[in-house]
Amino acid sequence: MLQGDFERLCTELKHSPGNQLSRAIFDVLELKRAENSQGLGAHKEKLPVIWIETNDSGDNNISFMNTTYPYLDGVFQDMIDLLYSNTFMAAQGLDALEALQNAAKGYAGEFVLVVEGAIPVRDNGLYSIIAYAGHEPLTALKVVSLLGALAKYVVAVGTCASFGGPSAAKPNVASNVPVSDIVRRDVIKVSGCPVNPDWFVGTLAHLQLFGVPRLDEVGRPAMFYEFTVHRHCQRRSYFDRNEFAEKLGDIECMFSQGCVGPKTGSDCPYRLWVNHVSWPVKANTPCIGCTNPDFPDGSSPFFVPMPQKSQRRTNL
Amino acid sequence: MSRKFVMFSPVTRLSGLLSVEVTMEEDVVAEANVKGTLFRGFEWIMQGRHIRDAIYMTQRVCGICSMAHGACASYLLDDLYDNEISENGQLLRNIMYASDFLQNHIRHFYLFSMPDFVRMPDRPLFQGQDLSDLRLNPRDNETLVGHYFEAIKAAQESHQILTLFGGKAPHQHSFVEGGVAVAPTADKINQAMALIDNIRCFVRDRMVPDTDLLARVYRDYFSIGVTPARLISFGLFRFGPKTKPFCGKEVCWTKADLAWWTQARSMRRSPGPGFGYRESNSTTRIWVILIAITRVLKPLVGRPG
Ligand code: SF4
Repeated sequence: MLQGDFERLCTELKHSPGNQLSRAIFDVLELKRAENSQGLGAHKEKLPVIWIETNDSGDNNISFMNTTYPYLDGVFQDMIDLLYSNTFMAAQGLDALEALQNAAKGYAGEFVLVVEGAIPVRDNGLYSIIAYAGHEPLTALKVVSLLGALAKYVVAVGTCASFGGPSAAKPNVASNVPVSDIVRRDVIKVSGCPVNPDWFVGTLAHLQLFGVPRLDEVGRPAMFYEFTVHRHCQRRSYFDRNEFAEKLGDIECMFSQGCVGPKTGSDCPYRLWVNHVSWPVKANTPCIGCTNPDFPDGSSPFFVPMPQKSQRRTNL
Repeated sequence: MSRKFVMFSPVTRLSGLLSVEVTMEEDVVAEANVKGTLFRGFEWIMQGRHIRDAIYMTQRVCGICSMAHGACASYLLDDLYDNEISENGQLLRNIMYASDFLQNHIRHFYLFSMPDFVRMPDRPLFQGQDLSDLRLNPRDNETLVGHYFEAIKAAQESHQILTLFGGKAPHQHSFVEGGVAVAPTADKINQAMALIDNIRCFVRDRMVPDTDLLARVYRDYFSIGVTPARLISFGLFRFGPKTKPFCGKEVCWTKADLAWWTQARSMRRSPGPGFGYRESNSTTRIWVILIAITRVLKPLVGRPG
């Protein structure tokens, strides 16, 4: 609606009885909404998504379910068509495998491959089997390599998929590796243990509206991971004055309790978790650096200050 | 007798990867072996780590029940260090644990189980649904589909309670060895009460009637595939400064219980048809948890720190 039209509408209807003016404006809004079909912009098409779960705890899909504004049903309705997902899909068994096959064929070159979890490479990938086709194991290794070559974008969700994470923690008996070691292409790494739903849904929104977001030097969307936790932490004034917590539960800086905020890229201090109500330091505990490439081994022991953390393990 | 082998894979709608190998004799399932097909080797991961790391590391075993693993680690450390847990700490721990349970039950019932019984809308996510034994009339079906989407918010709100006290969820931070690192201040209690009210309405008006309906319409399912009673429970919530498990006599692990257990196992009772779902279904448990949280939250009001 042009400014002139709006002014004319207001002049003509300003003394009319009932709610005629409001109704006229509302009609224009409705028209606009219908034109934009999805609410945000006419160029906003739903993303076809194939979500493969491999070696992780399934915490990332649980965290994804905690998204608010949009809630999960809003994401399914306006943002993505989830064509395959071990957690959410109604189909089981052969029907599920058929859905996977149809999605990979029908949407080749268009779909977003979301991988949740690390990929074990030992013994030809036998330590993570997506499904069996008859007796033949479809290993994560095989499925992710195949789909990775067909996808438009590859998104690693969570720290296991991004960097190996807890699945690849020492001694890593199944030789778990990140998705980027398996697919020979760029991977958007939305790390976190689990991922914050805002980081993941926000990345999907960016793909949907503008394509690939700007990534930081380790491949994570810069809009979420560019600055350190320490930089934006509410307790920074305590750190700067050398006032450190004596124990968990204190209100001072958690550096003394093992906080790795100074080396952790994430916006937790103002993003917060689960409808934006809290984060680990607000809960009077240290940040354990769950978005980092070296998590968890690089953060452990978790409750020991950074300079004394050691990656040496004693009785292996 | 002709034997047939069927590989049912993947089993979807659960946390993790699962397949079932089924052996059929004529039309009857003679044997079904379930295998979880992801392996990370957590036993090895834990070895050689600092013992307090267990509180956070073990939660990474599973995303939908992370709190349970962290709680166990904390209980063990309490034992080891002979910690005394303050009364507020005991109450808060149980509230946090219960919130995670609410989240788990609601998600399991609606997001994971319901597509086995209800015709879901024609969206990519629900395509390929097994329609062979859907029994609800169209009106009930529509109602339950609506509740599927309402459950999303109720489960999120359950995790919001855990986050209020625990910093984040899954993999909360403040339920640790020695107690809880967050004080139950009036604002947090008040917020948790408001959230619990929403969840209670959902459970009362949606989840309980829905469970009743499905249990009635699919009554015969209670006697299909009854397994030998190979279950162990060590109780759930813990009470007292020394975090003793609270359990009925059937769940404690004493010598007498061991005897009872062995006997029960050797009997391998398979409950016949009509096995009362009321005693065994999850709504009973969810009610207990709801009542427990509300009871526990109320007295907390007015004694912060
Ligand atoms: S609590 Fe952690 S992130 Fe915050 S100021 Fe201290 S060291 Fe930095």
